[in-house]
Amino acid sequence: MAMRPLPPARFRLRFDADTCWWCRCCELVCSLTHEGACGPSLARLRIDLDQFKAEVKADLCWQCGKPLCLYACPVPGAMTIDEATGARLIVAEKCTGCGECAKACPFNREGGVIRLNAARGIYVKCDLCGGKPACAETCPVNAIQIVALKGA
Amino acid sequence: MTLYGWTGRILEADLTAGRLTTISTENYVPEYIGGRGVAARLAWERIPASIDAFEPRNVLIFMTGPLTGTLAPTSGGRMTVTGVAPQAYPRPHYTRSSIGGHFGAELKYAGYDGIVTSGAAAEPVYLSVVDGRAELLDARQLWGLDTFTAQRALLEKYGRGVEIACIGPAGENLVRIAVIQSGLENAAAQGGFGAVMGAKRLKAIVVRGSGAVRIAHPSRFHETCREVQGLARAAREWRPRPGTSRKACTASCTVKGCGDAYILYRNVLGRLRADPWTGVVQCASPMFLRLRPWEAGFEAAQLANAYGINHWEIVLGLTGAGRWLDQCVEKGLITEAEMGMPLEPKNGEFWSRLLRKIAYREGIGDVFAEGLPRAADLLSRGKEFLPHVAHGFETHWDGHFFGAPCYPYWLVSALEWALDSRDPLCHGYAQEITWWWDRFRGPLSIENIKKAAARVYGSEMSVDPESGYAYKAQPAFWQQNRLVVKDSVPICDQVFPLIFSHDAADGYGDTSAEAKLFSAATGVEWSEAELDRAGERVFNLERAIMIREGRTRRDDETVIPYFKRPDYEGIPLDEEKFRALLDELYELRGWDKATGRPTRERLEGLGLKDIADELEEIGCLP
Repeated sequence: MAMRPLPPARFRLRFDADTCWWCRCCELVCSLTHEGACGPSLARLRIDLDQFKAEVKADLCWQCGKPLCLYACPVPGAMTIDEATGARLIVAEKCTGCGECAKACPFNREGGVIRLNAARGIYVKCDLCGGKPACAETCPVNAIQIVALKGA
Repeated sequence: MTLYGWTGRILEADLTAGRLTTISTENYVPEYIGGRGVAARLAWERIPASIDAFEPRNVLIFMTGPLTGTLAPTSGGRMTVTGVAPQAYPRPHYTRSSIGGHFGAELKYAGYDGIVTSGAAAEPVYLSVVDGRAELLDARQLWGLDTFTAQRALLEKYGRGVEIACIGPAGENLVRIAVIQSGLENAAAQGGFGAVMGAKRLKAIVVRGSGAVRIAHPSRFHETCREVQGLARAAREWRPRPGTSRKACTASCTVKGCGDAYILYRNVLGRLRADPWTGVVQCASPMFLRLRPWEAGFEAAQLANAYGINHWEIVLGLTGAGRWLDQCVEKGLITEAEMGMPLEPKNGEFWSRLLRKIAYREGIGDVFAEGLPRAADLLSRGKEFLPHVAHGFETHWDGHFFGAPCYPYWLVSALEWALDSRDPLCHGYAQEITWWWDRFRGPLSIENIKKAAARVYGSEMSVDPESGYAYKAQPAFWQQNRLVVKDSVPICDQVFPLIFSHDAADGYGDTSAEAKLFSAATGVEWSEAELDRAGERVFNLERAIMIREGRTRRDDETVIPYFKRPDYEGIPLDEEKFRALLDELYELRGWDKATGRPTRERLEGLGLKDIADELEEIGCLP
């Protein structure tokens, strides 16, 4: 597997657990805009809320400089880089649903960053919505923000 | 046909037989909307007239609506629980309670719009619904656990992401003010439905799903959510409270408009338990923090959640704004001996101990476990201090215990109370006009309030501070129907309807927000008027249930003695004028003025011919 140099991502999402106000709108708007349905399991990020510990975590795509997902993808052209944002993308038309990307992702704790969309038979991940992420736009407390990466 | 918004299936659990079956939601929608509306239709078909709440024949219904589980602002995890309620007074009757949080959303992701439970299990069970697969499982290990411990045990077993609705010791011990608890601080509380679960030996319902709610017009729905969120925020600007961590009380709430929203406290050391408490107070329960010391009050609030006891009954009944016990102590009507402990109703620890007595029906707790109106009957004391308005429920936005709303606005509350089966959520009318004046970005000018009200209710008189008894039935009629809509789609009953706005030059918000969200999500293109019409349909169906239970105009008028007490400004209800207002409201509703029964004509006009036929069969048409 060649770790060929790739253009760096110019943006990524950042999550602040203390600010998060537990409404889970980020998941709902993500699934709505990408899949036309509301449900956390269709979202391209995952909120893990444990009320009893008053604890919330988010699994978000880091748009890695060296994206192991992309390197692991065995299908030519099935993963690519968004020219505008540098987001690491899965090309739905070419994805065969093999899941190598999901396995390679070091942040994919419970399949919240790169996940199988069972109905479509493909894997899906955050595409930064072309630069205006719906999750960040909808979050009522700015717990999810899009940040520009220095040096990119 | 592809259904949008609704999942299309309702789970029916016969606990006596241990049998699980499925009902098609399409039999009931869009006519009955969802939530409270669909539940009413199911109740009409399934609950025999005049049964007791604790009989196996009682049916306990959990029903979401088409917006539950979607991005619609504040709809999130909302659902309605209905059945014959043990808290209802003087005898149990059919009513409802809504709950926020995350449970309702997860139920839909698991593939169901609702759950109908009937019968009673021989041994404790819990219902597990995971991705369309439902099972009744042994709950003997869970029985006796408090709501926090039971939920943690189930989380341990099922893993994160599972949502749970359960009862604590209060529900198990058939306490009439027992709640169904979900998470830290969400409950279906009014009605005492926790005790109905207890009678059915249903300890908990566990749901988890990887499904999603299909949306008919995704981009239009997204755009509508954005617009409604903006409007709702303009109406209720957030003023953060320093030193507190506030969270959404339900999934998908982007409004942040509640003064006493879900306030999270971490590691509060109480007096009784060695470990610190992490928990939440919201809505009424911040009143527990007025007890001394506040940490002990916080512990009492958490113990009420853990035992599964309704906060409203405590801080708007026995103490807090209700002050029943405080006054009995002041007047020497209650003795230390019968209480079994020193009489210190300002002390948080006192309440923690009393809550335990209530949950386990120990000593005097056995009396308070019957709910305050019944407790006063049993003790034959303190009836003059009861904050109980009617139907078994305590003060709620009626101008007599809260310092709001002022006269003449509580006349609309009184009308809403009269026709309801529980405390109505009067906020929609009264709170908007008066209470918010001095808060957030208020006040709105009275000219703008009048203009917006004329548009919604048909006349400026509906909100004119000098209007007295004129034009009060119309806003009551409008709000009653709209409250059904809110409980059915469902959406937050504090935030909606958006009658007023600080951002619009004319002060008008947008009362069609609910209909816009409903139509974009479901693809059922209903106008605001059509949705309100469905609200009226459900209101009449619920009235039919009440009539079948024996409800008469006389029961509606049981609100009169309460409202005849002077309000916080010293103004009492004029009984004669109020009866005339009731006449007006019955007329608007197409109900017979003498009996309070709906007429065949109105029922048929609302598409309820079969209901009219059945009422006629049992001699219950006017």
